[in-house]
Amino acid sequence: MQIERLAVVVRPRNPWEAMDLGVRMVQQWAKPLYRVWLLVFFLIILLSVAATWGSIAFTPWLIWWLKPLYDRVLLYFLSHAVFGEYPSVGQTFRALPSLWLNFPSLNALLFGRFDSTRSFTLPVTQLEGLRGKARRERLSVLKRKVASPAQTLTTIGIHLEGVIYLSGFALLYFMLPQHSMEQQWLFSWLGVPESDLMNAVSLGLYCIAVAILEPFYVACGFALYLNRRTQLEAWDIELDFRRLSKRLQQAGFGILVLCVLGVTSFSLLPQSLHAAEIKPQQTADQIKVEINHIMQHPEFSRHETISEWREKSVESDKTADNIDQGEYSAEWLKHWLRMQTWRDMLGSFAEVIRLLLWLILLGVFLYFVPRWLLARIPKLKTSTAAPEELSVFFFDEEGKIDFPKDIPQQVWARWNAGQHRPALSLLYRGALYHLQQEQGLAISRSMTEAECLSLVKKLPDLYSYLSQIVSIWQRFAYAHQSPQGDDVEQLCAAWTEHFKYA
Amino acid sequence: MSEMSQEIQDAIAVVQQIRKAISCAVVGQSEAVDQVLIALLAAGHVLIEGVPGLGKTLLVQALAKTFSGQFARIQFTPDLMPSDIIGHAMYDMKSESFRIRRGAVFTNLLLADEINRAPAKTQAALLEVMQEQQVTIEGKGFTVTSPFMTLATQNPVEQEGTYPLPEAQLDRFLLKILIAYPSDAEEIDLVKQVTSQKAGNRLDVSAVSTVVNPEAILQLQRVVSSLQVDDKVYEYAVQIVRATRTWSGVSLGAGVRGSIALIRAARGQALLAGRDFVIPDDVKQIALPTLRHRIVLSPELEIEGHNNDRVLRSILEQVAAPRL
Repeated sequence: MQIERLAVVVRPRNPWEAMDLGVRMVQQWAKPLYRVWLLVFFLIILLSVAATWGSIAFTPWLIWWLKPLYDRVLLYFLSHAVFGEYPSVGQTFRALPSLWLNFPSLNALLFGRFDSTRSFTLPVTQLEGLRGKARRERLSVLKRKVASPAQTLTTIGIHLEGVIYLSGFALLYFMLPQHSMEQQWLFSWLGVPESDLMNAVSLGLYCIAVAILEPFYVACGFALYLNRRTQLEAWDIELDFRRLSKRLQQAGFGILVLCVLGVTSFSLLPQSLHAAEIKPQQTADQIKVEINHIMQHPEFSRHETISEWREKSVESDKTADNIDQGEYSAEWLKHWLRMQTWRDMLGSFAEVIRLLLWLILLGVFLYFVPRWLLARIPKLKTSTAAPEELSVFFFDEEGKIDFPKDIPQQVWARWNAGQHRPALSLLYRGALYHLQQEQGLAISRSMTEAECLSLVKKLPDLYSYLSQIVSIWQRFAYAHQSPQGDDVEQLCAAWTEHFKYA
Repeated sequence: MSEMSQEIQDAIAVVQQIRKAISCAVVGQSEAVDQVLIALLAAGHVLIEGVPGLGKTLLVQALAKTFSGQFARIQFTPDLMPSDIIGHAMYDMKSESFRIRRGAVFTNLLLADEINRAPAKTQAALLEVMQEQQVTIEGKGFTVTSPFMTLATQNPVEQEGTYPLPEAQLDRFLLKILIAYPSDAEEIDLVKQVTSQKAGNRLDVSAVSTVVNPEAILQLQRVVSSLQVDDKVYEYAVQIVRATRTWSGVSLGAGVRGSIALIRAARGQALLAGRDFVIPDDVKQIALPTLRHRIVLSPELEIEGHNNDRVLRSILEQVAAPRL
């Protein structure tokens, strides 16, 4: 993660201040965020209405139940926005299948649905991609000191939703003329039979409440998560160190190396001590055997025999040889009749369980089938992913990756084909890429030619070579002065003298 | 490769002469000197900010001495009136008619010392002349002779009795230059130079020689405006300025005038570096003085102690440099 690209100020905050940051995030990005969110939410409403067609009273419940699914869309936007990228509506809709299928949705809709820290734990699932034990351990670390504020956030969210929902009813009530109040349709929710109009109004008001509040809820949880990681991983200190290292790079790289070595050696020290404290497993087993042996001694144990009368169970009857078949059937029938009364009592419960099992089956189907389908087309997935370092240098005008394997040969070929600007650009970018890969120089997207040159000042040979490339590139690109073909050929020929790989 | 034209070579030589002449009086502060020269080459105005006693006024006087044009200085005070700056119509008893008395702005170099000490009304009197190079007195327009450059100074420390410049006026300045404390060696040189065989503490620019005339300055400005700028450099400059408008923590980003100023200043920077074309480095180097007075930070960032320069550096770190 490139934390220096974070668009929010990174510093340790108390949880309430962090939630404040979440609110500010929504305010700052309100326009692009709500544009995406409202469209996605509208789609969810349409699907929910379609799914509960004919019994609209259940639609708000379905929308409420699906919250963990569409919260992911909000987090998808926010997690990009903190790095200064605002996903468009198209990008978000394209990301929807992966958001809903790549993460465990079933658990989120069953047990996870009642997680009172849902917005805080969502980034761990979605952004860190952790599952199972790793996720539980991660959450136990993250939740320390923050679990209570995260629960309070959920409580506040529930109350605010209620406030908006009931306020909407109150507003409608105030707007109603006196004579229509006599029709009593608005008061059906107070106990009198419900009408479809009433349900539609209830659905509308609930959707408005969710549409307004959900971005704030997710953003506050996300801000809490960012803040917790800032505290645990000292992002603010890391950022300051990065700034410091940039300054020191010119002044003295050696000082920085010494500092890093010093910090690393200190961080390693406690681990070795901890390892020394652990005793071998074999010793513990021996101790256990010894304890068992000692416990066998008469001083530590007491044996006595007690006799009492007990009723025989059906199972024991079944195995008894001296009971005839007819008697056995009667006993079995009596037992079955006793069970019938339980079945009557728990009839509705069994229906619920059956529905639940069907849902689990459906969930398993939805979970595995798309994955199986995606596994059929792995090439499509890998071809669009670009390594971070390549993307800094090798995107062409159309945003596609342009990374030839043999750079000097490709440069010369392009030059001869009359593509002078692409050829010289590739020469310059290729040199930067190899400097980054072979010399470990931190070259970022924002670095200009002079800044890149200043990084290699301490390597005279490379400096001289890169100066020639930069000079030719600048004169061509910015002064439109074409170099001689011989100069370009010379630079291509000298490539392997300075870089390991072509 | 084509050679640089003779006209541009002459221009580069003249600029180096001016720079050398100024350095006779102003010890150190090379960055500030270069930025003032860039503003002169780009026909812009500068706002110089620094604590008292760092040589702001000396720098302007040394620049004025390098060319044989007119120089005027106005000390801004709370009771200064607009008519004191631009001029006014007065009744002549002898000829029994109104006569126009031209103000201090009718000059080539105008030093507006401690500009934030005068109220907004007086500061605004400079708006017209800075933008349109003309003054309106009694409804009649008077053109100010070229070259015309305003060099305003302000003190960031004293807030009592000062009037911060409005955004519209700040936007008129091509560059806002910050003058910092000199280094050890520079300060020792400076103290030696000022105190040896001199009585009192008057600013001494006698060592500065006159090297150009106003016509030569105009010629320099023409040469600078004709320097080549590639489309990619235009795009880079505009991207930087546009990023200030969407950056979180910036409540008011730079306007279109910011983009224009950035390219003008980059041209001056290129000539000062001895080139006849502009490269992205020129844009990046001059971005801070060009944009620092054109953005307004959000209150949250100001409370947390961030300043405009820090935010602009973050923006510059995020905008990709052209490489295609």
